[in-house]
Amino acid sequence: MAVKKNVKDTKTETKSVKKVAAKPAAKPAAKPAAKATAKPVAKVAAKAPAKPATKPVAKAVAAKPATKPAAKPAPKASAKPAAKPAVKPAVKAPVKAATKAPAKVVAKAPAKLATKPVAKAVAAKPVAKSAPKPAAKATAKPVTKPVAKPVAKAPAAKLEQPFDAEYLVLMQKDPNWLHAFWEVSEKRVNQAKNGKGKLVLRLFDITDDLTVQRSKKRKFHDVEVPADARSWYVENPVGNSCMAVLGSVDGNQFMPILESSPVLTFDKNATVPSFDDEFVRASLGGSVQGNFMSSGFSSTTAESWLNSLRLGSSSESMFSGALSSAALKSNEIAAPKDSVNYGKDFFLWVKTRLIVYGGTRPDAHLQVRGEPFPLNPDGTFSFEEDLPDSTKIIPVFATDKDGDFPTTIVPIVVKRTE
Amino acid sequence: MRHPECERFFEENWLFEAVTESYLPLVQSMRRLLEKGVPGKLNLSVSPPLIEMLRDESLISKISGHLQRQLELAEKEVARFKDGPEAPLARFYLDRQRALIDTWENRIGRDLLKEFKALEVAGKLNLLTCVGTHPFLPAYQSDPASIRMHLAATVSCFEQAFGRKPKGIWLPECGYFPGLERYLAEFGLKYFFLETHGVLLSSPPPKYGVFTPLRTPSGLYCMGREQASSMEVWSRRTGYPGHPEYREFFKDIARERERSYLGEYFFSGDTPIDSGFKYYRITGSEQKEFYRPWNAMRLVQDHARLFVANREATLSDIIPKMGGNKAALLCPYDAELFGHWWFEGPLFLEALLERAAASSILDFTGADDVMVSSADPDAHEPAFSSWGEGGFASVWINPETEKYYPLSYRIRARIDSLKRTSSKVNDAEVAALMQRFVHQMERELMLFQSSDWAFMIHNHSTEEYAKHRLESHYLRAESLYGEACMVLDDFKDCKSLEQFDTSVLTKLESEDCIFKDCL
Repeated sequence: MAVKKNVKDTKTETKSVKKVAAKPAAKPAAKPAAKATAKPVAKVAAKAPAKPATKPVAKAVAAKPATKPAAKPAPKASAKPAAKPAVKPAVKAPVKAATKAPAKVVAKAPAKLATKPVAKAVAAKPVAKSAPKPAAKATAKPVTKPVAKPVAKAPAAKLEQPFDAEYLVLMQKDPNWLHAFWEVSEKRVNQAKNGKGKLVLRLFDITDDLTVQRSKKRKFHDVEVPADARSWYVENPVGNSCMAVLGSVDGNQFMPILESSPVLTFDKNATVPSFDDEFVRASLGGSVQGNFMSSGFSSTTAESWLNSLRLGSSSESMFSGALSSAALKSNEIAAPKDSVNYGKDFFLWVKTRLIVYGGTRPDAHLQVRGEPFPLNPDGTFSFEEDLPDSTKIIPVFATDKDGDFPTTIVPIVVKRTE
Repeated sequence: MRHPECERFFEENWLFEAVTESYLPLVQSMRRLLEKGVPGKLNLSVSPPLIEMLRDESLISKISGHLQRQLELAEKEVARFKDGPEAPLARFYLDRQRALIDTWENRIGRDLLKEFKALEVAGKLNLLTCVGTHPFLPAYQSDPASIRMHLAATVSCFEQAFGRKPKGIWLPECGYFPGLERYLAEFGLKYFFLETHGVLLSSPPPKYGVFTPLRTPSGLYCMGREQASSMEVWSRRTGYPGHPEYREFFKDIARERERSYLGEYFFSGDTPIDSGFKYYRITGSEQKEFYRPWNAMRLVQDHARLFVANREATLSDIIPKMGGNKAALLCPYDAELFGHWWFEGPLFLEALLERAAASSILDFTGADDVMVSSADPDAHEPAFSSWGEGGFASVWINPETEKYYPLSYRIRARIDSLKRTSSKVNDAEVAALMQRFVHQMERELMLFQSSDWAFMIHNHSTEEYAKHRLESHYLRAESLYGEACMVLDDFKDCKSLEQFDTSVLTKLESEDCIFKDCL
């Protein structure tokens, strides 16, 4: 519950400061801490766009390998899921690569959110193909547990195997934010940084061009990330597609390390259909239109349009309120037959209105066209709307206060102009 | 969901409930309509895991067993309440249970898939499917191999069950990202479904809202959900299933009778498992009154009439503005809503088709017949969207679940590397063995990618089970990878096939055997 709330707060926070380039992905990095930090982090991001990263994230990431993963995963590893499948290869792997396995661990574990699955994964990973083969099964057992420790301790070891998992992924969370995460060996990061470079995510706007050629000049912007971060939130660039390259920047020099595949994103500049469009209104459930008309709609972006729709929860009631007056407004469809215009000399138009009225017990529940409809204190009700040439079907449904006597009456009005 | 190791596994009960409360009553309703010659059909998405479960011998016999345990309980209830207000209800459930068993055992011979197919041939159902293990696809835009893996398994699984390739697909959670339709096209799919704003925000914007299928750049068709019809059923406040006359979901007799009477079958640890027998109606207050099945069934007729009338109202407004074209309207719901959550739901569907048969404005038709043309001549790329809370990805991609996605990409990297390595193996037998490793890793990855886990974590319902499943599938993939590397090493060392240790592979092939014949 608390978590959800925080998340929401975070979101509203970030929305109000759209210009912020990036927000630190404190959450994925530090799972248990996330609950507490989610909110403050977002605030930092909002206020100090340039740095926000360093502080909260550094904390999260650094704290992690030192304390949590070592402490937590270990006991669990021996507990349930590991019990069956994990143990076995773990036992075997070291047979192959007894000396190297722990080293490998180092390259890996910090690279990942050092959660328990990871810690275990490490144990399970049989690395080193070329490793010498100490026949000792004895080495097998001890290795399973200690694995977690070297993670924290010795971030210096090197063991490069061609089948290390390496990737950089951009994942879209919502129209505004992408979640970037990556896995890459520390060695490659260090090589690229070459001592002084800063690690950045370079985001290319590749709108309408998925045949990415790096030689080509294209728009990009850099988001600096701490060297030990493994995930980051980045703002969805304006456009319909983008890709990211993780690399090191030193002055004008850019040393790429990893690149993501291009992603097609939510296009915040896309043409948003207007609420005045009757098909849009009808798609969203006819009687809600009044809510939108009042919010000055046509100039807003897709995002606020959606916000104003409050779309998408299938379990919650999306729209509240009864038929509003706007819902009953004319729909401006000009039926050619009901008006004649001779310029300034003469004109005639004839329109019709439809009045629907009725009555029931004052404490009854009434629905008109599927939406609750308020009763007057004496149990009567009425509404009025334009009646263009059409067939109008107006289902009216009522029950008594306990839901008994469900009753439907459906007036059908056919209007024709000749 | 498959736990052959347990006699009674709590999560398997989800399947039993779906079968006994939703699918069998649906079949009964469709059969009655057929007997009466009522036209109109429903579109039913049968997901690949459901297909797998309904073909699994161990689960099939467990379903029979479940129906029998329920029958025994129903008989005890009749004996227990010789008179009093419970008596007619106990009788009602006993009769109903016998009819369900007759349907399951005799009329359909324990084969729901065959029955679905028969109902399709008879024109009562239009069968669709869903994607693989139900992955939330926007999370895997950067992993096309996984998307293809799920789709390949889907097509193969559906074809085996129903003897034809699927045309229509329900995207898990209506999750869509721009470009997804191209992958669907690769697998011969013809149409799919979206949340309302996926269509409304498509590029360029649609001409007729959600009221005509939308053609996509690859020539597929899609339709967006119409909101009013959803709200009429789903709304907590005004939705039909919440009517006081309908049966109360949360007052199951398993929570009210003594344990010794119910028997251990209706318990998981100390938690009672719903028996399906519930004696109260929603009532509208905390003081619940006894359920009146016949009153509820009369109300179903009224609600069906209302539902049809409301759709007629919408369509009669829309049609004159569509330039002479037909209008279409998509009303999607969870199948388990009808019967499991809303006890009277299958009867509502039955009444709906009867009511619609008398309408001069609308009919209930198969998507196969609708998703072949559009009143809107342009091609549109739908927008990133889902039908989850917020309309995008936050239900599945959020701070509580984000840490799991990198693991998926890591398994993918492992699979790719194993494929690369084993492609260089020049021994046919070893290459075949490597292929088995790759396939089993893909099974673990597919099971890992099911969106259900993230959903449970997000909702804090059976959260621990979800985490356990995520972690164990990840670990199993890693273990397989480890074992495969060992085998490759042994191969290099010129060991013979019999000397390879493939115990992890063998074990997991029998445990996580989903899509056994589809990969």
